[in-house]
Amino acid sequence: MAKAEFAIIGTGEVACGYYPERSEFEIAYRVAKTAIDDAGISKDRIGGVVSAAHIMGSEYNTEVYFGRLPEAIGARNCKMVATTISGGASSFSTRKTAEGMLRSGEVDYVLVVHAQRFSQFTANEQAKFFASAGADPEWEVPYGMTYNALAAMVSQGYMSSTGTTIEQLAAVCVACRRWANLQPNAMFRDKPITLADVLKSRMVAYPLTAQMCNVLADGGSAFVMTTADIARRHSGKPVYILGEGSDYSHRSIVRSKVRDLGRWHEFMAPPAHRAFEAAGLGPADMDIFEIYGSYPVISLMVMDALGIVEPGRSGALVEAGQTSPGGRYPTTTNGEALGFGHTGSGVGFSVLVESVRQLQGKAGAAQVEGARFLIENCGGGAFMDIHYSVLGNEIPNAY
Amino acid sequence: MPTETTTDGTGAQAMSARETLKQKLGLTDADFAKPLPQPTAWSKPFWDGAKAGRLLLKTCLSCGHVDHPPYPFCTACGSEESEWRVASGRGELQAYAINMHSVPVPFIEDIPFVLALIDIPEGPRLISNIVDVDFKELRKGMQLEVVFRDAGNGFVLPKWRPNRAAGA
Repeated sequence: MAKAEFAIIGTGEVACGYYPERSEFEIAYRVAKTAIDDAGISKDRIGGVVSAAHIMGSEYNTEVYFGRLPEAIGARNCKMVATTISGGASSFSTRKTAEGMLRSGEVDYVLVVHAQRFSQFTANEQAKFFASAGADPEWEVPYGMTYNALAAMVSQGYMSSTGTTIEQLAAVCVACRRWANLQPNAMFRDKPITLADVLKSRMVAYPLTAQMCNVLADGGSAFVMTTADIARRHSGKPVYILGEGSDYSHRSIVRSKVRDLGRWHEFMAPPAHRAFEAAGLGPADMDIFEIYGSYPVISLMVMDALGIVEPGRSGALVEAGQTSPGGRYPTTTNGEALGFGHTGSGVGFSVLVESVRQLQGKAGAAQVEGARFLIENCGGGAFMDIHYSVLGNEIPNAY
Repeated sequence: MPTETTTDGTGAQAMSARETLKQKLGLTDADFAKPLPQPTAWSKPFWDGAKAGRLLLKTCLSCGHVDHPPYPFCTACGSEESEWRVASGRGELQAYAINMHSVPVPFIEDIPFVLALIDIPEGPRLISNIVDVDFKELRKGMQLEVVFRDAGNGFVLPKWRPNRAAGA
């Protein structure tokens, strides 16, 4: 029987893409207001504000930890603020900070915010940052290692070990794009792609083409958290956190906990099982799989870990259209980094926010009818960690 | 599989390619400076060793664990007693990528080049380049040997090439 402690009751999001004139402050204020309104509470009830850090630095970071957000949105009863960052895993770590605030008993509602404007940096600045962020500055960057090369290497190793084909990797991009085409805020909402488009795009880091690598974008989202007890009495549509599981692997891939690139599910599966177990549910109970992979190979590895398919066979599942809109296993319904856009530490936020929308029945054209339970994940670094949560719009006491 | 393109290597051609890039991207020569290691107190012996043509690995005197990258204390047992031992110089390719586009500016003139995940018999694995290789030969299990390549400013980077004697 699940014992949900916390719930998310509202979300906000802005369009993802290239918006240089829209500051990160404007993004943060907008998503905060939207999330509070969506939660159906007064801004005066927000007791804590947690923000993820802006990647690559910004005046925003100092402003936020100096308390700008509660003042700007008029959260006059706010008692505490914090900035939490763990890269792509920040949707998880900010949530943990929010839970700590709620556990203190001092506050009833916590607002969690992410905002990012990459377009203020030049292409060269971004390339430099993501070379040294994705690779070890002392041991890898001097060799010309890049994020894309890391993903390419992992893809090559995974394919050679499992027999997964490049067409199957490309199929992940197409599936993500098909979902993104249903999302009003997705960077690539108006740009459908085919398998041939993905395979024929420019070779960036063999075996990955440009369309298999994600594109940095401006964007942001927010959500409002409360305790499950308060949420139960809430008039809206609370989404409960039913079970969670986490693990950390490495800073550099040379120290990954599981060495065989075809068997990373051995690292990724145990925390997924713990999340299912805590929720009292299994993979067969999931209506949606909100996977954040960032690169197609990681999405396949996560699918390998979830118990819906024999490890190493996820590529065939995707290729058969089973994860696409209308498929048996709706997966990543906002298209995540590859289709929605890569907002730095915000991809996990966009996946979480979409998870909540789906379970609230607010996902519009992407809505999976009657969705009750799903599993979502995020992870950061150079594939350093993984965090799962099983979410539901009810607490499955009856199970 | 991309095929290796041989760069002409004449100064005149390299300069003109760079000048085109500088104009197109608004760059200066400083932007093309290769990033170099910034050694720490606990990693300096590795780079000093590379400069002397030796691949050194930090080995714990308490438990025998070999740490790469090195840290101040043994990551297995926490001991601070260690010594730097010369590695065999042999390696085995586990996985690779070939950077062909969208690389940081200092590496634009080097594309295409190979990044590899390499296991060495002493235990650790490394990220490095594989040089002097026909890309079509690259495969998991390929036997490699270390070579030392000058990186400028007093740095030498250990890199790898096919070990023909070992059947690569």
